[in-house]
Amino acid sequence: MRSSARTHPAPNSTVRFALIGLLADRRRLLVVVSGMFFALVGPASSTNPLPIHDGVGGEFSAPSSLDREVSLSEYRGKVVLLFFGYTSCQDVCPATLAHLQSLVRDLGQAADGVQVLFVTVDPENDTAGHLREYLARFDPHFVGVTGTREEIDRIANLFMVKHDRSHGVEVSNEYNRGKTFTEHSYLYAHSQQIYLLDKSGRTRALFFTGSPLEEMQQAVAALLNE
Amino acid sequence: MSSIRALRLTPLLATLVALGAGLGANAARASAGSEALEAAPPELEARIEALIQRWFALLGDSTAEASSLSELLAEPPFELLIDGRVLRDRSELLAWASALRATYPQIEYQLDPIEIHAESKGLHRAAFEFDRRALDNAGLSHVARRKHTWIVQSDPHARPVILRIEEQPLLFFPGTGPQIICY
Repeated sequence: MRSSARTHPAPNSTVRFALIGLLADRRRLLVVVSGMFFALVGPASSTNPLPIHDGVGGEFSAPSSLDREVSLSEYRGKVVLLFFGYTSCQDVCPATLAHLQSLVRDLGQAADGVQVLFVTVDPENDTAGHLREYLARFDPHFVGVTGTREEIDRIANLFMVKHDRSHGVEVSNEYNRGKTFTEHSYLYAHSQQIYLLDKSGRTRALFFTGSPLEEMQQAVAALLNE
Repeated sequence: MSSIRALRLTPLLATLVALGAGLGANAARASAGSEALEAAPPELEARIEALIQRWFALLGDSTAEASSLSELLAEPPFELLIDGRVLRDRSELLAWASALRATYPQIEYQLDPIEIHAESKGLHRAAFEFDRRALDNAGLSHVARRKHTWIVQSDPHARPVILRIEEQPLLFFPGTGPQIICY
């Protein structure tokens, strides 16, 4: 795993914001920042509605594990958990899908209002049938999204997902057993965030494989109740 | 010091002369007028940073005149690539700012540290990321993270003005750390 070098403010903290003024003397300008305080909305606040992530996501339509095109808009009215990965991934992707499997299972009856979408970043390998077989190991209701490279890149761009195929890396895992080395001598570096979309398809929170299930369940429940 | 040695001054006298020359130079600069700020990089950087802070303060102040933004810009043609649009004149800027205020009656910005580098003679490049938090008319909370790259006209004898802004949308990860890439 690797990550970019950026730090972020702690959730639910308060941040000084308003610029009161600029004080200048002959030699220097002093910017004075103070004043108005604004409460941040954390990713899973139980008291505040989840914020809308402006500019993240959007409508898409692509072939799926349902053997037909699916579009995000057909899940209007449902809360969607969207994740990008690939079936040959050895660690984070299956762990994340197992995490989502637990989340959905624990929701009980409320899970009827939730849809998990898995968008492959490896459409050359992850065909509709392949995705269906793979996702059924976690939950047969999970839907896989595939398509042409261009279709996948467009969806990834909508959600600002980074992905990059690395060649020449020897891969051997249980799922790929029986396939030749040349078929699977690659890995994908890809973003691993889970997108929580509300009933209108707007991105409302980002989670990770390690996000506490309770926190995720609270967020999903909050959106189901909107 | 070599020229001072050539005059065969004692070390003490040479020091005094050197000090005097330095003070004289400063005095000459000061007498050039208080409006002529020094072009020393740290001071210029402070002025550019103040320009950036001023831009976002105006955007976040619902009582400020939107036209105040245009005073921070270079004479057209400038180029602002923000919110998925390209703004090239003051009317387009005012229309965008008005629409932003109409959409978000309450908006605020939190800027990360700003990196400023000389681009070329008279031009500086400033790059930084920021979070934007806003409330829309329905009271819904909105968040966004952006990266901005500014090109600023940085004449040392005039206030810096914005020549170009390029915006790149980023993901907003409050409290979760950076975007994680896995294999």
